[in-house]
Amino acid sequence: MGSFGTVLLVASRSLRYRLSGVLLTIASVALSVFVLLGVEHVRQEARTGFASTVSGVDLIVGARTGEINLLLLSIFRIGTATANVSWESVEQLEQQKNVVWTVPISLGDSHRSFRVIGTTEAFFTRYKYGAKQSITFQQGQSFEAVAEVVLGARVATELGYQLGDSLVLSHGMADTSFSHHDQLPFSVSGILAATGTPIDNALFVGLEAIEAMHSDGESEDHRGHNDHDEHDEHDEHDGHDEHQEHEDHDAHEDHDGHEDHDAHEVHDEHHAGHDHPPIGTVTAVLVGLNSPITTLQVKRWVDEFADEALLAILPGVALTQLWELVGNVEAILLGISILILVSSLLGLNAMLLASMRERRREIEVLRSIGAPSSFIVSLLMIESLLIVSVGVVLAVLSLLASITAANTLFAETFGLMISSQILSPSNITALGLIYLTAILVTLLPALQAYRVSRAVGTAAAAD
Amino acid sequence: MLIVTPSDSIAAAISLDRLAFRYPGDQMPVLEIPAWRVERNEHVFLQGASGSGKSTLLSLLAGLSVPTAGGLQILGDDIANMSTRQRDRFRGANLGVVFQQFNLIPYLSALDNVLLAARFGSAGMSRSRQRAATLLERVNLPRALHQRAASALSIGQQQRVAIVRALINTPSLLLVDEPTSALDHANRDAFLALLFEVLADQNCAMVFVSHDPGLGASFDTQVKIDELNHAVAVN
Repeated sequence: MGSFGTVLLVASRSLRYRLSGVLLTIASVALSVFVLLGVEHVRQEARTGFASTVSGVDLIVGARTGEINLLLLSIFRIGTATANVSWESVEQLEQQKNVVWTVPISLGDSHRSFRVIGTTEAFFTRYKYGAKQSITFQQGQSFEAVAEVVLGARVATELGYQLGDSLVLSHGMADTSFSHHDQLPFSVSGILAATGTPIDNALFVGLEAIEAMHSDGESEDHRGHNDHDEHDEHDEHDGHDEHQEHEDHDAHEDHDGHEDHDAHEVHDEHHAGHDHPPIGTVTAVLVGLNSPITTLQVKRWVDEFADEALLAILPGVALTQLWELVGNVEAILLGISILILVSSLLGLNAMLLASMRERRREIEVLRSIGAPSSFIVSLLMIESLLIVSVGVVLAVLSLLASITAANTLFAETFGLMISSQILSPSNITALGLIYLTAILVTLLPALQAYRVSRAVGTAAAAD
Repeated sequence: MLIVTPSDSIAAAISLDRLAFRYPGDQMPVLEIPAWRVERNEHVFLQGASGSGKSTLLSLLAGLSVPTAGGLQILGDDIANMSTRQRDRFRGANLGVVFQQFNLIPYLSALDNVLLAARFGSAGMSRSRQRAATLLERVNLPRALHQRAASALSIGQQQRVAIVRALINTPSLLLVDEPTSALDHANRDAFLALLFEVLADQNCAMVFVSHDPGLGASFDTQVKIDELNHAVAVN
C-alpha cells in the first residue's frame, strides 16, 4: 500500500471514530448537494422542456405584435389577439414556393377555463413537441364533423370526460360566461396523450366549428363543406382547404341557408366583445417549410407583406427570448442553492476546526513516529473530501430515487418525464465546483493542522 | 562543531556541543548544555523536576525542534542542519519515541498503530508485520487485543503498545518521556522491567526522562538535568 493508501485508511478510521459528528456533517453536505444538483437538473430540464414546447414548426405567423406576444398567444394561448390574419393573407402565404404546409389556429372560446382552439385536422400531424414527437391519440381520433371536439390530456382527466361525451362550449375565458352556445353541443371524438406542453390544456375543434358557433344556424351547411376537395394541393385536409371553402361561399350558393358575406360582417360586430377572431380570419398560422434554409427568406416575405401588417417568428428563437424573461427565477433558485451548499461546507470546515483541538495529541504522535507535516495536512484534506464524497454519492442516489418517484407519480398526470440523466455537463461542472469549494474551505483547518504539526516540540514541550 | 576522534569507528548515540535553545519570542534560553554524550547501547536516566527543560531537551533529541545554537549530532548525523522533511525521515527510521500518555492514535488498532510507525521507517512491511506480532507478544499483549482500537485498551496496555511502536523500526536510540506517570506502583515496576527486557537484545541506546529519582536504579547512567543544563531557570 502506498502512502496515499495509508492516508486513506487512517482518514476513514478517523472518521469512523468520530461517527456521530461526521454523520451529521455528511447529512448536511448530502442535503445541500441534493438541493444544488436537483435545482440545476430541474433547471436544465425545464429549459429543454420549455424549448421543446413546440418543434417541427418553422414559422409562426400572426398579425403584427411583439414576438413574445405572438408566441404566448399561438403556443401558450395566453393573452388576446389585438389583430388577426385574414384568409387572403393565409392563402398568399400558402402559395409561397418554400411553404410546404400551413395550419391555422383560431382561439378565443373556452370551456370551463380551458381554452378552445379552432384548427384543422392537420394540426395533429404537423404540430410536434419535444424531439419532434408527434401528438398521439390516447383514445379516439381527430374531429371530423363540425360538432366534434378533441380534448387535451389534462382537460379530459380534470373534467372527467370520456370518449363520446357531449359538452357545451362558451364564449370568452371566464367560466361564468353568460352566453353559452347551448344550441351546439360538441361530442368528444378523441383524447390526446399527455405531452407535458400547453396542448394538454386545450380543446380542439375544427375551424368551421368555431365559425359555426358564432354564425347561428350555419353548422349544418358547413358540415357539407367537408366533402369538398377541389383544393387538394396537399393530402391533408389543412387550413388552406377550409379557408378556401369560406372564401368561396359565394361559389357554393347551392347550399341552402347560406348567409352572404355582409351577414358575416354584421355577425362580427355582434361578437365584438369576444376573444375569438372575426369570421374569415385566424389568430395565427403555423408554417412548415421545405428547408430550414429558407426560413429567413419566408420570414422576410411575411414581415414585408403589404396587404396586412403581419409578423413571422421562429418558435425556437422566441422561446429562448421568453425563457430569458422567466429565467431570472431559476437564477435566484440556483443562487440560493449555492448559498446552502456554501453554508454546509462552512459547517464541515467548522467541524474540522473544532476537532483540531482534540487532535493536537494525535498530530504529536504522528510527528513523533516520523510522519511529515504533509501527511497530516493530507490526512485532514482527505477526511474532508471523504465526507464530501459520501455526501455527493448520497445526494446523487437520493436525487435518482426522487426522480424515479416523481416520474411514476407525475408522468401519467402531467405528461412530464424528468430525465434521470442527472450527470449532465452542467451538473458535472457543479460537482467539480463543489469539490473545489470543499478543498478551499478545508484549507483553513488544514493550515491549522500544519501549524500544530510544525509546533510539535517547540510549543507543546513546555512541561 | 563536534570533534569526533579518529578512533571512533561508530559515532555516539547523542553528542551535544554548546547547545542552546530558546523558545521563539523568549529572551532567555531554557537550555544551555556545554557538552553531553550518550554512547551506543547506553541506557541513561535523565532526572529533573517539572519545568526543568527535560521535555524540551527530548524534543530536540527527537528532531522535533532544532537548537537555537550549538551542535547536535544524533547517531553521527547533524540533525540540526537537516531539512524538516529529512529530520522526519531520520526520526521515522532511527528513533523511537514514547510519551507520558496519549502515545497511540485512538481510532487505530494496537497493531495498526505499530504498523503505521513501520510505514515511516525503512523496513519492509511484511517483515514489520512479523516483528510487530512478535514484539506485541513480548510485551504481554494477548493476540485478541492486537486488533482492538487503542482507545479501548487500558493505559498500561497502551504504554506497552507504545514501546512496541517505538521499537518497530529497530531504532538505535529510544527516547522515553515519563512513560510511567499514569501507572500505579505495581504497573510502573512491571513496565520498567519489561522495557529493559525488550531492550536487552535490541542494540539500542535509551534516554529515559523522569521526575522520579526512584526509577533510576536499573540504568547504566543517571544524570540530573540541572547538572547538564547551565541555563538560568526562568521559573
